[in-house]
Amino acid sequence: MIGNDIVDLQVAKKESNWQRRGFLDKLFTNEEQELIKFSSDPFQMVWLLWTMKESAYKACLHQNYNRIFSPKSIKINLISKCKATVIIHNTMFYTQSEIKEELIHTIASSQKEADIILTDFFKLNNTAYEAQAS
Amino acid sequence: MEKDAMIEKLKKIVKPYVQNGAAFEALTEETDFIKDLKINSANLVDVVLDVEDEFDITIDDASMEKMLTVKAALEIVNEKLAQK
Repeated sequence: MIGNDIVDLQVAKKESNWQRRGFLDKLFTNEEQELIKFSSDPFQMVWLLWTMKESAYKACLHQNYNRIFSPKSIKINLISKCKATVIIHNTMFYTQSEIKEELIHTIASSQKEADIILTDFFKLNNTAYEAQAS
Repeated sequence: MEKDAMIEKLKKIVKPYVQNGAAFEALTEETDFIKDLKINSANLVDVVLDVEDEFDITIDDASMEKMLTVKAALEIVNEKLAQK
């Protein structure tokens, strides 16, 4: 099971206000909120954690996992800046992220051994949902 | 509140986040926020927060998890309004 998520940071800046009251509370566990709070770049941390959750969620969707909007039930355990384990629906995923100036890309895999290769990818011209969802 | 009035309020709330205008124009109770309106999942939390503000209710995690369609949103709002 593999899932993939990309956040365009310029789009995120424009379309979401992570500092909005209630925003972090609805998306992140207390532990994750602490990571954001004490990060030197909270904005980047918000979207890094978000791609970790999304990539694991998308991996589960491939397994006919029922769609629900429950970001807090997806729990992240950060191992290093770009690596984490993510538990969703009693399944553990290993995530690997790539942080660039303009975007954050995370791949989640249910297999630890599988070398997750973050291949070079092109920035999508079409940032619409359809383009990102595949 | 009448259902039509509630749907109108909901339409006003979701409009800024919609990425599929045609689906928005054709919105019904069965419309799915993510699949049909192409609202990005991070913005779905904005919809939830805006609904809380608009109707002066609190949507707990258990309710939020179901809030993927117009129909589910209406049910949750009605349930929370009834509890007030």
